[in-house]
Amino acid sequence: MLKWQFINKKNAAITDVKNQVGALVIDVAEKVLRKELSNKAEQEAYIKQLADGVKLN
Amino acid sequence: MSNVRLASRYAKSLIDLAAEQNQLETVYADMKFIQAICKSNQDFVNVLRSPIIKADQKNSIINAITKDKVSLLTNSFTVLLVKKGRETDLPEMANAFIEQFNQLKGIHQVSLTTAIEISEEVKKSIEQKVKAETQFGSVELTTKTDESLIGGFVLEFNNNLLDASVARDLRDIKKQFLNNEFISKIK
Repeated sequence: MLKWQFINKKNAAITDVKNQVGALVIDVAEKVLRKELSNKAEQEAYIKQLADGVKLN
Repeated sequence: MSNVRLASRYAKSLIDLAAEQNQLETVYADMKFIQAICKSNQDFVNVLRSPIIKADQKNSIINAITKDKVSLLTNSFTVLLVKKGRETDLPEMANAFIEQFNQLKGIHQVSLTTAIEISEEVKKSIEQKVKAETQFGSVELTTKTDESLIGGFVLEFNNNLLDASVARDLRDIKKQFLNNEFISKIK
């Protein structure tokens, strides 16, 4: 196996691990966010904060 | 079949007539009423669209529902529609009327979607925000809830869509993890 082929395989494997971990993290994050934003007060505070920061045009 | 072009023509003439008689606001309220009925009661729409039910029966059905609730002008308008066999498009006419009325008055429709029901105070503040940023004269806010948003809000106005929801953020991040640059896509 040539050296560049080896490096490429290595990078592909690393990226694959990164992607899998990323997907897992997002699944967990979604669950946490759902829990955090499940009550009305939190939700409204978050919406207010977003609305202040957002630019419409 | 819905016929938008026909509906907007009837709506325009109704608007003109209402404006002439200084009854724009009353007719607008009537049209809102009819729109609400059409939305909540599919049977009513089915009756309007039915080819089997006779014209005089339709007239008495419409009369029974709108009796004492709509103005004389709207009443004669529906009678005219039934006479001309155009009552099938009444729901679209109501929509078209409201749309044209809003345009005439410079009212902009803004639709706000949130994960859960929010309080009037927050709605007001968002309405103010939209008004200030876009220089809309007046804004009519309609709200919806969609649990799949998780958090944040989605704002629709003037054919623009502003997605500030948590679901959108998560989707964007998820996309970054879908691609593997080191695996050849050409086999």
